[in-house]
Amino acid sequence: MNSTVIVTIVVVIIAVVAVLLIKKKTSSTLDKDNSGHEEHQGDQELYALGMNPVSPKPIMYALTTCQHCKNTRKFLDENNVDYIVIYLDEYSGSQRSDLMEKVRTYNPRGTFPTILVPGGKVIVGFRKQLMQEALLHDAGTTA
Amino acid sequence: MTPEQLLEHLARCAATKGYYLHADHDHCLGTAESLLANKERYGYMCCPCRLACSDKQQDSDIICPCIYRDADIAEYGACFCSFYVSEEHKDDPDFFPEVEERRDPSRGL
Repeated sequence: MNSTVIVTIVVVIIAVVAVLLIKKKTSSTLDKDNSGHEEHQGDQELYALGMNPVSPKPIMYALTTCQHCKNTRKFLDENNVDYIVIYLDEYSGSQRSDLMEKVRTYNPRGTFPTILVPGGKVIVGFRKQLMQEALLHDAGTTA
Repeated sequence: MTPEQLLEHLARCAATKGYYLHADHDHCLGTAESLLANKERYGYMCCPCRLACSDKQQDSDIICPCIYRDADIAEYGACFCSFYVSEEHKDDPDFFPEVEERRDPSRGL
């Protein structure tokens, strides 16, 4: 008799847990569906950082297709500069325009690359000399 | 179309205007790859150095060759991407002038 009660209780507990799990899964699927477009929206953490660029590392706003951006990355990599890159063309819709608006607050022409140096300096374009002065001579920004 | 084929085609088109592709072949090849990537992404070959807004009408000024190329080459010797150059700089692989953006920031995004 006792064992029958215990088995019943266990079955009920399992059933309740199963129902809760199914509900949770359904809810998260609905959330995803409601989140809108299926477009690729880049890395959400980088998007947040791009919109609120407080970082101990330089932040580079760039395009994946831009040769000046590639040359800048190559230069920074060769000089072991630790930096964060945010590719605007990996975002779409309002996120892309939000990021572009943010870039224009630092560089009104909205060109790439635009590099925010900790401390407030902004470097626009592939400028070896400026990067050397701002990034290679400052302690704490190199790896 | 391969990037190499695109380069050949663009070099021929540029020659009709008296322009040349940059002497740094890797730079040109990378630009051609990016143009093809943009064609795939947007449906048209917009400038790889600028952010497109995915609207062909609004991006029409930056479809390569962009409408700013002539003025840029006349003033700086190269276009905004340093992809097309003038005859004077056609043999210089290190010629990368700082070309100021002419596009009105209110256009596009």
